[in-house]
Amino acid sequence: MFIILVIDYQMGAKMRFYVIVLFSTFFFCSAAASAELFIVSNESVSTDALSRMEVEHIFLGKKRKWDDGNPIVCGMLEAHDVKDSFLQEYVKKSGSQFAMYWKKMMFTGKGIPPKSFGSEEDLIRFVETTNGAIGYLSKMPEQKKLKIIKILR
Amino acid sequence: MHLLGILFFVSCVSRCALFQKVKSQILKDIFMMRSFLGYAIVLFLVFPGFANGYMMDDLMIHGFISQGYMKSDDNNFLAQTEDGSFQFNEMGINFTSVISTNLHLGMQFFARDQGKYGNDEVRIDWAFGDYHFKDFLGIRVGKIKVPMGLYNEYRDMDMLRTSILLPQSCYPEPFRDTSLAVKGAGVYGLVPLGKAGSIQYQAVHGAIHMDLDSPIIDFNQDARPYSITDIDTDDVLAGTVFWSTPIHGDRYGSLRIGGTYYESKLSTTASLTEDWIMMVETPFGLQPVTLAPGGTPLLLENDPTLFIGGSVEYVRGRLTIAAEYLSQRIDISMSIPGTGMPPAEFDIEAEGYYASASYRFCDWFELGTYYSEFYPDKDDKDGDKMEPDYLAWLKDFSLTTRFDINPFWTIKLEGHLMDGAAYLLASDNPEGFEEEWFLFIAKTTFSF
Repeated sequence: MFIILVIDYQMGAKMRFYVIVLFSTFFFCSAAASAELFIVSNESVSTDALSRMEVEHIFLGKKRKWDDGNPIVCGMLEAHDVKDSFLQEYVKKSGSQFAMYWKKMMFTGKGIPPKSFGSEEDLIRFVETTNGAIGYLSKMPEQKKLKIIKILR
Repeated sequence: MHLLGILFFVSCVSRCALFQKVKSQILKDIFMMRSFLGYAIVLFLVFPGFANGYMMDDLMIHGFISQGYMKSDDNNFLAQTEDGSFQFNEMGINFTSVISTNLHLGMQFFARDQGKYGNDEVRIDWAFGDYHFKDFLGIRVGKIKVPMGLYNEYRDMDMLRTSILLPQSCYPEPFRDTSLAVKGAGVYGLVPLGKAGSIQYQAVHGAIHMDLDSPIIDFNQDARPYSITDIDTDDVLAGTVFWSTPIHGDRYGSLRIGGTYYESKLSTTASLTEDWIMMVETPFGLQPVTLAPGGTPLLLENDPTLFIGGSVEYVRGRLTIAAEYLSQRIDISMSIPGTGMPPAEFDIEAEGYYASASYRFCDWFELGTYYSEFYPDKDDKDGDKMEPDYLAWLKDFSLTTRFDINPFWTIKLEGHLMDGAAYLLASDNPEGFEEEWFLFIAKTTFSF
């Protein structure tokens, strides 16, 4: 990418400002790969299905309680492709937009971001062992004590 | 990196030892507090393990340091910008603790320097307890940021937006301290509307204390025959309501529309810096009569200061478009206490609006622009009653380039083509104003 910022200062005269921005950035920007995703929860969660907007509200900290009043605890994957796919499909944000949203929350004291895990196994373990937990996976878990949440269209 | 951290720590300790020699306890406290804030943030920044913030069980620590530079070709704005100024920085560190599933506590220490304001004195930016009853109702008690428009709550945190300088039409720097944070209580919540989207609301009520080095003081007394001795407001009511519309998703983008309401009663005491003279019709013609000599105390009451605004934000993929409008009405009553004289009453009606667009080309580069117009007297947009006429407006076209070197380090370069001199201080520009001027700002921020 090339950026040329030319500022012409002339003492005593009006300052002229030229900005020439040449972009070849597009070539370096890649869209997130789409992948099949499963929304999973702890077995204690009484909810069987969520709308896409509810999933979005949960991961943005706007919906913090299940319908029965129990607290929601979010878990996320750090892996880029799966995380980006999830954010794009359910939260309607890119990775950087999501990070910016939670920075705004943290620096105004209004919220605490979801916990992140380095692998799906770690996330599965967290969701299995945490009451009210919800997360997402790239493949259907086998023989795990997890509940698959149906997504309403 | 760890060595750097140790060096900073040793330096901090040795400097603290030097402070033992400082005789004034107050000066020492201030000096040590500033150093503590600065060193604490640097320590967290240099230790790689803290790059995402420090987390221990249910305690989180985050912080930031911003340093900027401003240069204008004409007109001093916010600092001595004609000469170029590095007095443009902010720093903060916050602590958040989860007490229970419904309750969390947090506070942020903050210091800033902007020209002659702030001088890096450490203050509590926000500190509150947050109890979340239901998704549609939570309460906050303590010192709470004032919700206004899209950006007011994080106006001091540069890394959380595209532009460095927010549009002055809706986020005027002179009024910053009147709408920063209240000591009181607030409510917030989210109300789902099914297919109609959702409503998110916030409201706060409380008091705001302003120091005498606040920009509102200079703005209030600039080119006026009085000097302010105290300014306070005990009665602020503010809130926002945002509707996330059904236009929501990848295909059509996401649209949200919001409204802002802010009302305060500002009480200001001042003293006359010169005689208050009124021309009175007498049998001998118009004669000057001294109503009050210089030094007489004055009481100015802004009742109410009313801000009403509207906001629209549309996000589609990497593109964000926003527009906001803000109407400001201030009813002022000026009186001399104890004289029984009827107060002089007048009002100010100002308005401003802007439209902005930003596009994030990739994770590390974003380009943003806005066009903003502000009129201090909305009934005199051409400046017919002003001399010079361009005191009646401030029009600003800005272009920002934002580079996110990594998730914790941001660099921005920004240019402003300005037309008009509204919001400029005569005291900062003793040789007068220029109508057309240019402001260049660069800023870098580290955060964790």
